[in-house]
Amino acid sequence: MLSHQSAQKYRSWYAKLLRLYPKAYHDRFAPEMDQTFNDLCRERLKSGKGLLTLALATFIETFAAILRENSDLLLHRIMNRSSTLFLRLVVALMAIAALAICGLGVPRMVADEVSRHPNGVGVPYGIMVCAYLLCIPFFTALYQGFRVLNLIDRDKTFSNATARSLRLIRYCALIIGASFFAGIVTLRILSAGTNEDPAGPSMIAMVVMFFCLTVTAVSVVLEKQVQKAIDLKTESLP
Amino acid sequence: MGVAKNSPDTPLTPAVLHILLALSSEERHGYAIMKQVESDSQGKVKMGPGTLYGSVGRMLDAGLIRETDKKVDPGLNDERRIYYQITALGQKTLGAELDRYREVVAIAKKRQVAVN
Repeated sequence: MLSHQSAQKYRSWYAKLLRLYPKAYHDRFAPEMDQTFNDLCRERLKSGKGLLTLALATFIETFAAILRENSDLLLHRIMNRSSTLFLRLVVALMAIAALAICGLGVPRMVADEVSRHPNGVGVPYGIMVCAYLLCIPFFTALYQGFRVLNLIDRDKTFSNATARSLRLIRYCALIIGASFFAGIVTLRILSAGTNEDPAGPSMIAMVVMFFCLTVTAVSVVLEKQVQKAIDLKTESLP
Repeated sequence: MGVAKNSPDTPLTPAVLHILLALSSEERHGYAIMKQVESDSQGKVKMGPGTLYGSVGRMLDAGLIRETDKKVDPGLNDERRIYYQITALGQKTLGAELDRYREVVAIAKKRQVAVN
């Protein structure tokens, strides 16, 4: 009875996960995928095994497929020039937001911290330096994003330059993600034994890390697709 | 990616090859394809729903397989399911892929004889 309840629970989670597919794909295959997952659960329960391993493996496998389908769709969409305008706007907005945070948010935060703890000024200044250092990979990634969009507009989507830019974006996302991870760890160590609770900054860092991981995964998939197309083009040359 | 439209000469991805093989003898629904692939490969290839339906979508678009009417599987005897059937183009593509494999095996055998 308990196993059937957990099967229901996993099935409802799986249905939620399937919503991350592009809409057209979801409408086409989600009911069948849900049915297949149910079949897998039933087979597993019949053989007297637990569902956790099956659910984990299927969720990871399906999540990878979701990333693939979404990046295929993204690639297809950005082949149409009109949509590059929207992406350019997104990149520009990200740049403006980052400039606002670095120009206004970070100095204000440091000033607040310094006035609250006049004796422990080291940490806020350290965070400020790190934030400005992280601007280097962040703006590099944005610049590379613009470059990719320019290449698409010039009909050079499937070129080595695009693959190189996507690789650079991946490295930048990894650097930023790893820095935030190191930041959390440092903050936890520094706040140990004090009354400070770093839950807020930790949450922000987790969100940034998740975003960086997603950017890394998407850029890997896109780079692979671009590389495949380059290889096909090279093979078809006489 | 992986299935070129209407071209039996393009090499297939392992997932597409296994699905075509599973459908070569009879029409099947998604779960039955998964089970057949597992049994054809003696349990070495375990396809998850993400890979299966990603490949099925591309194969439908490429005209290698087609959907048939929804019906109940007598073995599972519950909901109505969509069945998939291999098309003439799918048969041709599978044949061409198997020929390629035969050629590769023949070359490998020849080389081995030459080495020995």
